[in-house]
Amino acid sequence: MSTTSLEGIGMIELAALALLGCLGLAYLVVTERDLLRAVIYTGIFGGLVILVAYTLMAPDIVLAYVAISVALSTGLMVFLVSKTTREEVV
Amino acid sequence: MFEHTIPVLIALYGIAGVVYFIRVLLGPTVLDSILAGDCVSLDVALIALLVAVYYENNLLAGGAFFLVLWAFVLDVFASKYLVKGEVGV
Repeated sequence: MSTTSLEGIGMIELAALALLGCLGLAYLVVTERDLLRAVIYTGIFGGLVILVAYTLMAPDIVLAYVAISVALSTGLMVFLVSKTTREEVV
Repeated sequence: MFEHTIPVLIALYGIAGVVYFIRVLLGPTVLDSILAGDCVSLDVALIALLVAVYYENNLLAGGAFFLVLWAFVLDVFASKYLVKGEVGV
């Protein structure tokens, strides 16, 4: 088993499934009316992108993206929701 | 025998992640959704560690711990917002 190339059973399929989940989560984030729940969806979106980066052998991208996407971006959005309203008003 | 163990484990943890995500969608309160989202993050971290074992690469194993830690920070932010109404930064 090679340690540097993308070979093996089902790893590229795992990346494709995670990207498909990212697509569904993006739809949910846009259509959700409760903004705190939309922030949670954004965090799960970041987790799935991290899984794609893992499957494609990019650990350095993971180390930067996990701090920004899962923690800093979602924390900043929770801070913004606390300064405005929780329900989306059209 | 053991060469198919890790893909089967990854598939089982993937099914568990789908079940957690159904709870994220159907959670009666937002607290259930936050808890299920934390479980999804832990599940993704476990899958990442299994991918690291599958590729036999130790560089891949470090990022999973950071994923667990920063997902906990997201829970702290959401909890402070739900209790106090502000994040307090």
